Amino acid sequence: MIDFAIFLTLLGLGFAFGRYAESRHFVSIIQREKESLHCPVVTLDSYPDMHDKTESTLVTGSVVVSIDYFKRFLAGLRNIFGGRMSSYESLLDRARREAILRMKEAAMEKGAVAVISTRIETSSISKNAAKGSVGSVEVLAYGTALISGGEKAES
Amino acid sequence: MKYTPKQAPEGINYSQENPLKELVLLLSTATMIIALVVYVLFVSSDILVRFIPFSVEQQLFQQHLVEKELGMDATQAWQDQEAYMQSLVERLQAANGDKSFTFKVHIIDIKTPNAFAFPGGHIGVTPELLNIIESENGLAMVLGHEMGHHYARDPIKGLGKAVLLSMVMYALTGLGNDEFLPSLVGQVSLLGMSRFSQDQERLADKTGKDLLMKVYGHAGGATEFFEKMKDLRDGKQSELSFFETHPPTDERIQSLGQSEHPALVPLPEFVRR
Amino acid sequence: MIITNLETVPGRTIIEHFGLVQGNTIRAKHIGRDIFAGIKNIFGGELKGYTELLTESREEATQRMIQQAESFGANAIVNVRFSTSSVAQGAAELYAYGTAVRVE
Repeated sequence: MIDFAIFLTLLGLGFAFGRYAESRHFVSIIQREKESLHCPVVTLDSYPDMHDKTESTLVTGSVVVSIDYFKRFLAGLRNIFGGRMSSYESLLDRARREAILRMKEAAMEKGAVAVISTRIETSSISKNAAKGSVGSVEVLAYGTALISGGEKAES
Repeated sequence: MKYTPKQAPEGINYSQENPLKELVLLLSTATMIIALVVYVLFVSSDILVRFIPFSVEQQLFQQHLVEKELGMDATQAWQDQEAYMQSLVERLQAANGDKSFTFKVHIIDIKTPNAFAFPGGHIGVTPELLNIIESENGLAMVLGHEMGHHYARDPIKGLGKAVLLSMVMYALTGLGNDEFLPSLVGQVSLLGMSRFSQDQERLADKTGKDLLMKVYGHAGGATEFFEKMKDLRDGKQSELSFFETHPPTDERIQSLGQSEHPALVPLPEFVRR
Repeated sequence: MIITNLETVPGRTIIEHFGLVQGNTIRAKHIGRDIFAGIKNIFGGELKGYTELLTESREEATQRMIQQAESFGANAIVNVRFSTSSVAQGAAELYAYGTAVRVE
């Protein structure tokens, strides 16, 4: 009986805090995306005027986001019935956008005009669903920042 | 090429619906499926358990193990009463013409008047019950009722259900998975197994009455125990445990019919202490 | 919507770009497929059930990426890359990303 009570408590905590953290994170992401719209991120390997730029460097952004108990339980249920795991989708969307934002921010700090040739890698750290272990996802975004020699961002 | 900054709309790569909706949906589906599976298992266990012959049941629940479980292995205190009841049971059995079952009566020292049927043909009676019954017929009815449970294989059916339920819980949740077997044995404690369904109780009442008819030629004394229990309840003591597991007492008295008959055999003196 | 993993669309010119667009899905297999796959584990060979599942998921991820591009007013997505990873027990994540552009 005590096991069940612990389970319910964890579930409730996971749900409450998870939702809270998630909505805050999304607000922050949307805000920062708006602010960094002037610096494009593309997967193209070539960019107009790229050979005029005197400086270019690799920039990366990475983040590890962890799952909460509620999401994990929901995912476990989903696993039995099949279908889309909506609980994990929001987690991964956040992680990815955060990683891209961090890469952009690193690039903008260097005064970049654009980030080209972007690649994104996702991997899971200890996705093991054994009791008590942490499930988390790491997203890495990397690309080449094109920095005009001396000039700031041009539109 | 020129660059036009655009912000992607929300909600494409993830769902903005409240996750609780999904949880409720999935949980309710899972619960329904589990309930269905458990129901099917219960029904089939009732059917399958009948294929376990009584001799096997007896083997599993041997006398010395039962007595150890009941804490009765060391006492000599109630030997006379047990012997008397044993001979009564054998009379009932002989009158019924039954040779395939072997019954063993035990006194169980609990402070409420009650009688039990355990797997393996064991019948338990409490001293309090002996105190409130006055006639041999009344006692024979109680013993016959418990024998009725054995004839219907009710104890082993209950056992099968308990085992199944434990297995389902274990498979689902892993709760208690370190101590599965010991806890199973503990749960299937013999006293716990005396909970039979109301239908099973009614059938056992009928069997008890039939046995009375076969031995004494009449069903006098059949309702004695229930009436005494009613008096007790209307009096001071509340024998809640008794009333919970059995059908309403008035109903049982009604279906057993009148018990006013002259020739009731009184219980020997030594039986009541 | 034109989808290509080339830098440009052959025969057309890119006149405008909107940046990165991405689409992802996480799909879980269900118990039935699991059991069947377990059996197939003994015999070897293609797990048709899983292949089908992942193909559908990839379709959906691509669809989401297209949705994002359409909301920008793009008519092509170039330099598309796919990535598959396993992020949860028994679930695969399909991710597609590319650059949304307008071609002429």
